[in-house]
Formats: sequence, structure tokens, C-alpha cells
Amino acid sequence: MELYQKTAAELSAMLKNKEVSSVELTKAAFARTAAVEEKVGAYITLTEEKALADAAAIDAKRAAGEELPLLAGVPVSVKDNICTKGIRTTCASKMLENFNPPYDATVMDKLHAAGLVMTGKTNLDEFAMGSSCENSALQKTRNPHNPDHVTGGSSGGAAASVAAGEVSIAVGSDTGGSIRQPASFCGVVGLKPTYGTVSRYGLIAFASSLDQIGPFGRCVEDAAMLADVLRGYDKMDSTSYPREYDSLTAGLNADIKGMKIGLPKEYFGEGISEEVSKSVLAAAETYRQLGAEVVEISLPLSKYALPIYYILSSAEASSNLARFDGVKYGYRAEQFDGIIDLYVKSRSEGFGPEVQRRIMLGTYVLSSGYYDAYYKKARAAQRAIRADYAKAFEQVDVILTPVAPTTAYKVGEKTSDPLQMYMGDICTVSVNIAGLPAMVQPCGFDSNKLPIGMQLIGPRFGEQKLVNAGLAFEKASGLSNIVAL
Amino acid sequence: MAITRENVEYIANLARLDPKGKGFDKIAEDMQGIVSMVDQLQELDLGDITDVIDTERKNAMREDVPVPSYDKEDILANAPSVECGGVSVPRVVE
Amino acid sequence: MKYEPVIGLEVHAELSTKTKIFCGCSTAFGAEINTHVCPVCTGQPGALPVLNKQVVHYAAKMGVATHCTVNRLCKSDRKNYFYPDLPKAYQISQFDVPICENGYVDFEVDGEPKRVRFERIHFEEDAGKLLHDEGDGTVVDFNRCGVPLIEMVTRPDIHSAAEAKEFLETVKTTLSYLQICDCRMEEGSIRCDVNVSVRPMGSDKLGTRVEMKNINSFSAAERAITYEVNRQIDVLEEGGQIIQETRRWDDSRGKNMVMRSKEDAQDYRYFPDPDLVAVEIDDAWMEQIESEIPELPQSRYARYIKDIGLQPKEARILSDSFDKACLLDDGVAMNRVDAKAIANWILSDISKYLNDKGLELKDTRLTAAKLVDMIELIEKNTISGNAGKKVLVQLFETDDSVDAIVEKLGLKQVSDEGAIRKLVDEVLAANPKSVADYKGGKKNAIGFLVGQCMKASKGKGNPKMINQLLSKTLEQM
Repeated sequence: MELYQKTAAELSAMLKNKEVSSVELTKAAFARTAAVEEKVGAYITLTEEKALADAAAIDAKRAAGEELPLLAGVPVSVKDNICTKGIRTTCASKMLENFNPPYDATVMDKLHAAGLVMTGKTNLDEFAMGSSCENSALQKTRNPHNPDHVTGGSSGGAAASVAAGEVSIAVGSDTGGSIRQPASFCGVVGLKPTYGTVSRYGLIAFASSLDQIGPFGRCVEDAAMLADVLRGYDKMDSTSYPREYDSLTAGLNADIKGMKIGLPKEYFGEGISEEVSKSVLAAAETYRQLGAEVVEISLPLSKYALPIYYILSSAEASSNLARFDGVKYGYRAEQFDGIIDLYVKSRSEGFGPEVQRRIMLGTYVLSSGYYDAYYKKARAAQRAIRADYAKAFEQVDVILTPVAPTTAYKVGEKTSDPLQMYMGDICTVSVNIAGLPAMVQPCGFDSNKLPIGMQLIGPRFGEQKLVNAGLAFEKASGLSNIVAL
Repeated sequence: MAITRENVEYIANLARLDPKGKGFDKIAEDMQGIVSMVDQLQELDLGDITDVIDTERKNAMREDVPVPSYDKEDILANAPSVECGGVSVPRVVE
Repeated sequence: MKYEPVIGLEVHAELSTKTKIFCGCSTAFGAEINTHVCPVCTGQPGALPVLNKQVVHYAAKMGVATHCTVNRLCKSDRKNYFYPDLPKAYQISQFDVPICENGYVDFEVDGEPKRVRFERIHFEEDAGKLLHDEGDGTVVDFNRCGVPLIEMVTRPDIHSAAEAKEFLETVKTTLSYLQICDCRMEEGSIRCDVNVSVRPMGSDKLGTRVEMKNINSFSAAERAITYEVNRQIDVLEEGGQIIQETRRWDDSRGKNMVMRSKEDAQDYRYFPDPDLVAVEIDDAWMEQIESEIPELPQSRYARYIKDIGLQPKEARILSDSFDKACLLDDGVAMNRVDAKAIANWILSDISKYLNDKGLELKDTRLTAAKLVDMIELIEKNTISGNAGKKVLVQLFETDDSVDAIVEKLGLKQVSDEGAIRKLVDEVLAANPKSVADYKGGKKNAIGFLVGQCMKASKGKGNPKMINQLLSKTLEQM
């Protein structure tokens, strides 16, 4: 078995036993990347030199006998909307093509403190707006299982880097499914943590009230290990919860006898492909056999999640992205006549079409005369969705659903119709609206040998239940550590 | 709601975007599709549920204690144009 | 036709916190361009705001002092617009739920009581400063970005430029009493926008409103209002109509010009800032805020007239300055010397010293206890009033005790009757002509003789005693 095929947990053990050094691992990661990156295109920026230096520093510490965190010395990729000091952070936009942040995001400090070695910055849909990674202005990323197909998005680069074995773990972000849907399309594990558990400081905002950073891995344990590193209170983020977190890794337990799992009937009807439905229902059957109690539940407001999501996320985005005006950083048009023209040209030339579309929609729903009908109504409906979930979690421990209506579709298949693209988010957005944790992992393959994912949704701070349920299924199904290519 | 060319012009002006390249009508059409989708929300009767101040988290505040500022050079490093120690823009009168 | 001006003000005051409203950068004025900056206040991608608790505290204090309802639960909102001095392209402010609502201040205009109501007080962040470079460009200084402000919005209760000026002075005095604003006008720590309309005297309908910006001092506010009221009356008298617009005041030219018309009115798309959470002021915090409100100027003004017997003008000077009022009240509270004597010292020598030196009381070392010590020595005839003035200068500039200063400068009066009699006898003997003048009816000759005695005593003789002894001796001669 090659190093690139190993999970982070395995690599961690090897590092601890000094069977391998971090420098060796890092070199192996870049060698694998060199071999497959042309087909995959996961990265916007590779930081090999720095990674090797960081790895050497970790090795030196280990050699000196220092007690190191679990993942110390393990390579990790980072989505390119997370600020890295002095390392360009582009959001896959022409707007930020040459932007070098003056500071590190809090999660970068956490990765550093835990001794992880960053390999580079991964591709995404521009400013994380999209569900296929095709909206990147800088890079094309393809599904490692079949390069004719999309990776999903927006964290397509992160998912692909893990699926292709370029790294064992990756950091992504999720606003409406941006970790979970590409994890599903690429056959890996992705966790969207409870809102407020991972600091957003330094995450270039798309929709502040929905954005959350989270981990990717090829197995549940790896995702749990990386989540342990990422989680924690940050005084720099007012929306971060001032609380302590127990280690998910330490709490892993595949015995789920008596666990109650809910199947919301609204997630298995019209609009979801039969192959996907069947595979997820088969997973439910596996759970039954493992001793869980599977019950049908209802989340009656599910059909409104998509409108609520597109109103709230676009409204916030229109304001969050206003700062990209060609003045302080980022793209400035070459020719302009006065300050307003500078703004208009810089923004119109610097942003891609999808970003502009969402800014337009967001501006519209906040504008005078429309605010109450759209934004205010969506905020009220958001409360109703939360209540919906709260009621469901009175009955069950976790909720099991599909991740997306289909498996990874073909490149270019949906780019011409934005609305079609948005419909692909119907299974994931309500989790962000409600601020809940959810995890995606593979549960099968379709007839084209493309991965099918399933989603486990937990109550607030219910990550331990998710990883335990995920681990139980992973062990039972053997669908773990799938390396494509 | 129906999206008109006037809507598009008004919104584009607020957002400092220029959709002319693509044509206002095409933008209006695109937006109409999306707006029709989000309009589904209008049929939802929320009863007593209204938009209120979110009190899920509150009073995340800092004490009034100074923290060292950043170097000017680091903050201005990404600016497209710098003059006299500051970001430079075309003359603004107001 | 006679017209009545109807005026409302929006007053912005910079709060005197150490750090900015959403980051730990310093708020100090006058720093080198772009040196009080960080990712948060310059709107770097990914940076997030964290609210300074002191800002909430100060804003609520102003609300309590101006009889507002303090909203115990409030939030922050984004006001979206593009401008180079606004790095995030939105200002974090408060929209539909400000921290304070529905208050008022009372004051006097030409001796008549006046009340101006507040619609609201909210906190928000200041914008940066635009500087013009040598060429044809504008340069942005981000140092002021994120300096905390409170905006106080009045009801249209003001009906003259003089009322506006008095109102502004009252706001300023209140801010300084609360110690929440430096009130340094030249640094722009208090600024205001003015809304002006006029209507025929007796009408209760409001006229079309014009907003005026760029008013940088209270006297400028007075001039700008006078100008705008006259301009509107002229327009109406000529049969014209007032247009709803924003005009920019140019104080150097004494006139205003159209800045933007109603058609350009902004659509700010306010919405709750998702990066910030609700602010809740609980009972304990509210009690703390209320306990910090000192007795306010209006009340002290009335007390100084009634209890100390000061003239209204004197009471006003003292009550207008928190430092002076505290000096007076602290001195009076010691109950050792005449209250009016303390007031007189503050009104005369102390005020003159501060004016001459361009200082504030807090910049000096004078304390109420030492001032009282000094006055007490005068009342006990231990030192003369003139010596007191010399002591005072030392009290401003050193930490020495009054006794030590009197000792050091040798200011103790000679009040020993034997010693004074000796002086008097010597002087009378040496000045027979003056004695003769006095005896001949020129009673003011005694002044010269007192002077000679003082001179002979090197200024230390008790003048009152010298005077008495001289008179007595001369009468007996």
C-alpha cells in the first residue's frame, strides 16, 4: 500500500512510531499530486517549499522528543477562501487573483498549532458560490472518479484532493452544502459542523450567518480528527460559542444499538433520482440491522428551504462582497473615469457571472420596497425551519437523507441554467439555515461507478452522534478510504 | 414579482455593477427565473412567527483594551494604488 | 409674511474609548496616516468585528442622562453604500432598534426654559478620512475608520439658530459631564447635520425639509442655520418652492450649495449584521450605568444660584464645566470655608490661569482640598489675598502642600500686634507730611502710609491690622 492510500489516522500512527517522517509524507503528497493533478486540478496554489520546511520543523520537534498532537506532520489542503498570511488567497476569482492576506485565519493558527502541514490552496466555485466548482475563474477541477464529471462544489478542489489521494484530509467550507455535496460526488467524508463551533475569522465571507468551515477525509475517523483540530471558541468571531468541546476522536464508538434514526419523507420523493433514493434507503436498512431504530419523520417546511436559502445567502453576499470595490485590494479596472466608474468597472470585470447574479438578487431582496416581502419573511421562515428540526430531534437522534438529487453530473451539463444548478442544493441548504451539524459519507455507487453519498443530520452540537453513526455504517458497509485514480 | 428592466438598472446601480455587456433583458430574464423560485416563499403562512432579534447568542463583546495595530505596509500591500501613505483613488468631491 | 424655522439636528459625538468600536486599534487623534489600522478596521476579506463593551456602556449613559428609554435588547445593522472612506462598503450602525429612544434635554435660551426631544441615540462606527494628494487624486487615511460614535437625532423642536447653538452647548456639556467624549471641537469630536424647514408663523404643517452637511463647529451651525432659513424665506417670498435636497455648508464662504437632490436619495438596504450578536443590558449592568451619572449641569446651575447666591452668569460658567463644578462642589462639601469664596477663586484667578495657559483643570495639579486649605489661610489672616494668588500658581504646577508653599515662599503674614505697632510708629515718624495731610483732612493720605508699612514689612504685614492700627494712632495724635 502506498503512502497516499493511507488514512490520516494510519499516517498519524506511523509518524508516532517513527516509521515515516513528515518530510517523507509531504514529499509523497507532492509526488502523488504531480502524478494526478493534471487530471484532477484540485489546487489553485501549491506551497511545496513552505510545506517541506514546516514538515522538517515538525520532524525536528519529534526527534527532540516533544509530545505532538495526533495529526502533527500530516499534510492537509486548505480551501482557497481561507486567509493564509502572505500566501495568495483568491476565492477562485479574478477579483482576488493576486491577493496576499496580511493575516492568517484562526483555523490556520489552529492547523499550525496542531502541527499539520499545508500543501496548498484548493479550487472552489468563485467566492464559494456554486455547486459544481465550474464557477472558478482560475482553475478547472474534475471528479477523480471520472474526469468528464464535476466534483460538486463549492469545495470541489478540497473533495478532489482527498478523493485523488493528493492528501488524506482537507479543510473546506460549507454555506449551503459546499462541503457535503462535493464529498458526496467524490466519494469522501465531509462534515459541516454546528454553526458557531469553528471560527470564521479569516474565512472570506459568502453568507456570514450560514458559512462554516469543516473537514474532509476518506474515513469518518479522519474527519473527526480534523474536526477536533478546527473546533473551538474564538474571541475574534462574535458568532463563535464560548464553550469547550470533547474530542470526537476519543468519543468514537460504532455501537449504535438503540439509536433512533429519522427518514424525512420529504427527502425521498419527487426530484431525487431513484438510484440515490434506493442507496440511501439501503443504508437505512443497514442501520436497522445494526440495531438502530429507523422511523419515518416529517420536515414539512423542507420545500421552502431553497427560497429561504437563496434570499438570505444572496442578501448577505451582496453586502459581504461590496468591499471588493477596486480600492483597497483586489482587481482594479485599468481604465475608469472617476470613482463610481472605478467601482462599476472593477466589480463588473473582476466578478464572474454567478457572483454578479447573486449580488443582484441579494441587492434586490434588501432594497427599498422588497425587504419585508423577501428578507424579513425569509428570516421569519428560518425560525420556522429551526422549530421544524427541533421538533424532529425530540423524536430521533439523527436524520438520514440523500445529499443531492443525483450523483456527479457531466461537466457543462448545468452551467447554462442557474436555476437547475440551484435545485441541486435542495437536500443540503436547510442544515445551514438551521445551523445544524451534518456529515456526508459514501453509501454506494451508481451504474456509472460514480459515488453516491448519504447525509446524517444531527441536533446542535450533536457531532458525536453523527460520527458514531457514520463510523457504524462505514464499518458495516466497508465503504471507507476510497481512493480514486 | 415581475422583474423589469427598471428593476435591473436600479439594482445594478446600487450594487455598482454594469450588466450592460450581457444585456439588461437577459439579466432580467435570469433574475426573473430565480425570483420566481424564491417567490414560492410568499405562499408560506407563518402564523405568529415573525423576524425578531436573534438571541441565540448575545453579548459577545470585548473589553476596551488596546491591541497593537498592523504595519501600514502590510495593510496597504494589496492596494492597487498607493500615494502619500494611503490608498489612492480618483478625486472625490463631497 | 412672518416665518417660523423648524429645525432638527443629528449630532455625532466620538466616544472617548481607548480602542475602536470593533477592534483593538487605538482611537488617538492625529497619528501618522494609516498607523492605527488592522484587518478589521480596514475591511480586509475575512476579518470580523467584535463590539467594544465600553461603547455600549457610554451610549447607554448618554441615554440615561437625556431621559431616554434604554432598549435592554438591541442589535447592530449594516448600512450599505459605496464610498472610498468606508472600507467594508457598509457602515455598522443601528437601524430599527437603537440603544436609546425618546429622550430630551432642558436648557435656557435668553433666560427662557427650552426643551428639545431626542428621537433616538445609537452607536455606530466612524468612516476614514479623505485627503487630497498633490495631483488630482484622493488618498484614504483609515485611522478614523471604526472610531466609535453616537448619533443623537432630535425631533424638530428647534426654532432658531440661537436655540440650536444653546442645544449643542447643552449636549456638549452633558457629554463632558459623563466623560464619554473629549469634546475637542477642533478634532471634530462633535459634528452635526442640520435639517431645516420654514413655515408661515402659526401654521402647524411642516415645510419641505433641506438637510445640511459639513458643519464643523457650533458657531458654524448657527451661521449655517441663519443662512438656510433666510434662503428658504427668500425663495418662498419670491413665490418659489423649497426642494427636498441635501446641501453642503461652506463656512469660509458663508453659503451652502446643493450636494444631492431627493432623486439621488440612497437606498441603504439596512439589515441586521450577521457578524454580530444581540446586545442585552441586564439589570446589574443598567444599575452600574445609572450609578455613574453625575449631577447634571442644569441641576448644578440652579443650585449655585439658590444655595451659593451666585449670579446666573457665574453659575452658568461654573456649571458648564464639569471640572470646575466638581472643584466647587468638592470644596464646598468640606464645609471649611465660605462657598462663595471658592466660587470666586474659580471664576477669577483659576479661570484666568487656565485661559492664559490654554489648559483644562484636569491638566493641572490643583485639588479641591488644597484650594480650600489656601482659602482657609486667607480667612484666618495667615496669608494675604495677594499671597494666595502666588500660592495658587504653585498649586497648579506642583504637588506641594499649601503650608509648604507658604513656608517656602515666606508668605506668612506678620500679625503680631507688637511688631505691627513698631512698624506703624516708625512709618509715622518718618512721614510727618503725610501725617499732617491726614490731620488736615486729606483722609486718603492713609493709603500712602499703609503702603509704606507694607513696604517696611516686606509685604508680610497683615494689611487689615496695619490699617486699623494706623487709623487708631492717627486719630489719637
